[in-house]
Amino acid sequence: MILILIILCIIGTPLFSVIAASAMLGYASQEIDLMAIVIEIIGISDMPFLSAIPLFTLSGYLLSESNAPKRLVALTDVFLGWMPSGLAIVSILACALFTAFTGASGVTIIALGAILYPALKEDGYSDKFNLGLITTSGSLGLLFAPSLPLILYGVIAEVSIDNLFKAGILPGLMMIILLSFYSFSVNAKNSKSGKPFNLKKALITLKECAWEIPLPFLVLGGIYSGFFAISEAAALTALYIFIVEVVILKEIKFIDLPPLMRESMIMVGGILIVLAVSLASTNYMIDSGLPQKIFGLVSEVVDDQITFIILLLLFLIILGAILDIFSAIVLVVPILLPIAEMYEINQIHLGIIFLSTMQLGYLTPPVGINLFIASYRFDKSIIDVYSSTIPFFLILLISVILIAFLPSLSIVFI
Amino acid sequence: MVNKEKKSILKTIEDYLIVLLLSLVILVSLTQIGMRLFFNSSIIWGDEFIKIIILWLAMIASVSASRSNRHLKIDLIDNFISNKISHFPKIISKLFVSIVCGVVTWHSILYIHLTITFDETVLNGFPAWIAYAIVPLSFFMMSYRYFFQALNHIVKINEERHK
Repeated sequence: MILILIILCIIGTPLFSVIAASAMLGYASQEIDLMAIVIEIIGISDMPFLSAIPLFTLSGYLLSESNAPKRLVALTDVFLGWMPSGLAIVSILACALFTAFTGASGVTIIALGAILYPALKEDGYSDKFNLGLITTSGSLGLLFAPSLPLILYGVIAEVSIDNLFKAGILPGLMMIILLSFYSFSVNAKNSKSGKPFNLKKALITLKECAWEIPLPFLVLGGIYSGFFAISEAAALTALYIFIVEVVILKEIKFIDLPPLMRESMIMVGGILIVLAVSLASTNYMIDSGLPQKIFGLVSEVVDDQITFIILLLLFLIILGAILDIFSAIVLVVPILLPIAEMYEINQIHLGIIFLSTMQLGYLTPPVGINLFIASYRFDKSIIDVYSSTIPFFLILLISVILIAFLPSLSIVFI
Repeated sequence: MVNKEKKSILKTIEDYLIVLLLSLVILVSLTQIGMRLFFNSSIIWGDEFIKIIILWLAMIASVSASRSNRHLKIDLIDNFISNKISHFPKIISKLFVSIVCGVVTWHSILYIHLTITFDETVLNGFPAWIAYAIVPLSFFMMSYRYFFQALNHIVKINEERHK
């Protein structure tokens, strides 16, 4: 039976239906009425802060439709472009910021890649480097607030989302710094050195971005200070972006809003339905003692934390290669949490390990979404895109290992 | 022809419901924040209302995702298998979704019947079944859509054979 379900997954059956089927089979085998699954589905509405997910997704879509991506690149360029390999570092930072606000769905590659890819080429960077850089940066801001996977982990693991946001800061920065160093060392010889800093241009760009600059401070300040709950911050962000991009700057026409709203909610619907049916299947698995059974098996071979973390990383890399990050969080985290707890891994730290390792999954075949989006967007073969990302992948892998074995990176601010 | 028109009405309703519900979530959330900041109070039913709206939004958005088969899935087939043979796995997977959604529809109808029998309420006396009715409705819609998508593939195979 399990085999049939796995085959169904492989041939591209929507995951929610496979999960629902497995939950129903589980319930039926325990002679529990199948109405229980309906109760679990309705139960998603009781999850705290869930409204943050549609609201932040909408905000992200609005931002990508406006000219905000262009302004973001211009802004980072004017302040960091003077550095050696400036534009590469600008790309990394701009992508990270943009991904944090738009939910790591590949939209970064489409919205920012279109601006950065030709600009990098013009500045003399090699094609292979540009392709690898943009493809990798497309999921870089995953660990920064208010990224959707971070919120979803908090909702599922029932840990404080504020603390998760704080925990992501240093690991996320480390990835950015390591990638910047790599970009610098590769391009030290062959790219133009940075252009000089131009105060007048800086002021003009600042003025152009005057409406968007307060946004991160409003959202992050509000959340970090505890003044707003995450769902409230999400509603305010949506309102703010609506006022700025639609009412003031008029970059999105009012008439374009309904299709944009619908488009953004398709992704949300996809995530939430998987979440709803997973509540049923994980409840069943936890009731049947699956975490204890797995722990029993694992503890026969693994008795120390270090070996467990190594195994965990391997498992998550494989998981990330086949499952998208949202389904992976919803399906695996509830089972993983009690097991990791037995190896005394902090729940927040586990979250950062989980998400940073899943970030590698965006770049690994067979289903790494960034590879396909970049291949489609820049008209390159998957093999070309994949081989261009390998050095970047290795750097992220080093970051992930550091994140996993240095818990203080994640929990120092908590 | 009739069928096509009916479909497009359904799609329009679906699209506008999503816009309406999403706007409601934003409006009620903002009202709650405003009430808390300026009057140090809140709408009593506000939070529960948002939760029910989120359930509706999730379900309808999910139906919307089924329209273009954009549910989360492992995308091996589309990326690696040629169009010609990819019909067969698609027929199987779509029929499977249709059946699963059908089973969920049936059990949610039973569940809703139960809440009516027990006079369950939400939002201070509002009958719960109205809030929950979206579950069977949307699972039915998904079951229906995936069934016809599967049929579509069968038709396509036939057409390709005749070519």
